[in-house]
Amino acid sequence: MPPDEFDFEKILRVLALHETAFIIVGGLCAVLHGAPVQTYDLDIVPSRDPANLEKLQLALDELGAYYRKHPHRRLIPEAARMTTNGHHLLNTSAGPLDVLGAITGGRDYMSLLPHTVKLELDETTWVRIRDLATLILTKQETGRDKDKIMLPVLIRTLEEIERAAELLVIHSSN
Amino acid sequence: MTQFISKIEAHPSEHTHPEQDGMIGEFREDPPIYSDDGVDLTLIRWMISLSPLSRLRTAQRYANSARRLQNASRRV
Repeated sequence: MPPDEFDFEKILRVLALHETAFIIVGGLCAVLHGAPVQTYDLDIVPSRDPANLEKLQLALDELGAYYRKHPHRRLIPEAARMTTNGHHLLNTSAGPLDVLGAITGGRDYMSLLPHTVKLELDETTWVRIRDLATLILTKQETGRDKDKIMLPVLIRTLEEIERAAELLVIHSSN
Repeated sequence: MTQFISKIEAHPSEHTHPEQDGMIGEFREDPPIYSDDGVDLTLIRWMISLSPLSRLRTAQRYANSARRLQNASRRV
């Protein structure tokens, strides 16, 4: 059975606790930038370095992860096998977690890394997310219906962030 | 900024709720409420004003509310 409550924060804290290197992509990435969109899972692209996959395994074990496709068989993911571009769609005790080897265009952790920003959740936890401009560009490239729907909100969010930054500069210079 | 203000004066209904039209004279320098493609900019501004952790928790609350509503409708 899927968990009763979504707790994305718990998933992120467990991943961070095990010092897993990963990038948040998808809907929650948009949310963290400030886009008012709704999402029901957490999409991450982990580094496929063997040492990192060991850390990921520890985090997945702690979260009680299993494949969503076969809820009754409760197939346990093996991070050591997550060395390809494949997608691992999991349920955890804190909600759905999609571990993506790569996203559209074969973009894996290393190719995404230069287009990311670090966000501090609090003094002890930070996460890395795709930068908003790149997220928009990718969604424009793919042209999928679900991406087209989200695009206007993402574009306006980027504009509002830029506008707020300009206002901040004006206020601080006065 | 001048361009934007003249646009509001020319097409107030495109940028404000009908009940807010009367406020244009008082707040004509306020930024628009909706974008040209209909996105509610006030929601974006509110989300941007939150910390990343608060944005995360907001998304969680909404997802959990939606799930509770789904479960409730199944029981009816």
